[in-house]
Amino acid sequence: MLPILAGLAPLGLLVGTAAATAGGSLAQGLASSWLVYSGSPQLALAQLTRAGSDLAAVVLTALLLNGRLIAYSASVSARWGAGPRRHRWLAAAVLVDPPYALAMADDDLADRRAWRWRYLGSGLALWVGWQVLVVLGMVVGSHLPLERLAFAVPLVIIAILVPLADDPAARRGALVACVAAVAAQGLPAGTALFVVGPLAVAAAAPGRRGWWAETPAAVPS
Amino acid sequence: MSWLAIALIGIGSLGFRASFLVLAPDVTIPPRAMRALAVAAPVLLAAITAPEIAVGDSSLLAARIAGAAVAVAVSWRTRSIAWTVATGLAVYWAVELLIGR
Repeated sequence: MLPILAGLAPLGLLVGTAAATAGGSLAQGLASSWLVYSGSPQLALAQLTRAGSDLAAVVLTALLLNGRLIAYSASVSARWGAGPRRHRWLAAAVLVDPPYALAMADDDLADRRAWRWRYLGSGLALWVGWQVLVVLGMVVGSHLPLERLAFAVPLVIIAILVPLADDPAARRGALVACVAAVAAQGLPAGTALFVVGPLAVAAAAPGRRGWWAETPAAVPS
Repeated sequence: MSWLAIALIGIGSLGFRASFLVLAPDVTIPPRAMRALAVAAPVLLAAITAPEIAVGDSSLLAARIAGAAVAVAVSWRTRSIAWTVATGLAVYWAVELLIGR
């Protein structure tokens, strides 16, 4: 877990700094990293708030970004086995990309109880580490010249986005989304997403048969 | 940031996390739906970031485009968040200095 936390340190610190650039209080930063608990929606919350987007657009974008958690929940549940319901709640609360990737890589399913504890152990360790990183980023960030650092927020999103667009379909969708989102700037606030979304998804729809039937790999962040 | 936004996103996200683990453990999800959920992330991230680069204070447009282009290239090569942000910011500030703002 330590190497993973070290790898996530820049992201966690920058997510905290981004929350500070959006004028979030320490309590709000902590609440969002506790409740939202995922890098990209936390960044989207900060960036869209700073850009003055309306509530519906902010909430919808962040929720769609977290939609992958539904797929993760299904995969972890399929491996979970028996055990008390409160452990399943705990498993859900700490579910995010790194513990999910570790759980999918952990094929030692002979002892389900041990598997579950390995998952919960890594999940809880990451959860605690993430809160510390975000708070640290907010505290350090609030002492930095935030206006000068505001451009770091879209840069962090680029750093998450580029590795995700590994697949040609995702790359097509992302490129169309760029063009459509810029073109849709004149539209009334909040409606742009409804134009950009379907266009980009149509562009991502594969030219290759069978693409939709493949199981997606775990995505970072 | 608004408390209402944080609460709504937080409750929705917990619902997503708990969906199959707690709420409907016996339901299976079709691969097609898994795929759609996975492709949504890069598309949305692109849609919220591109206007941040292309729209806004036009005197700094060149700096934003240069910074973002370098960030895309560095991210593609290194996959490192720290390097991507550091080089992108450095290029942005350098161009900002060059055009004298």
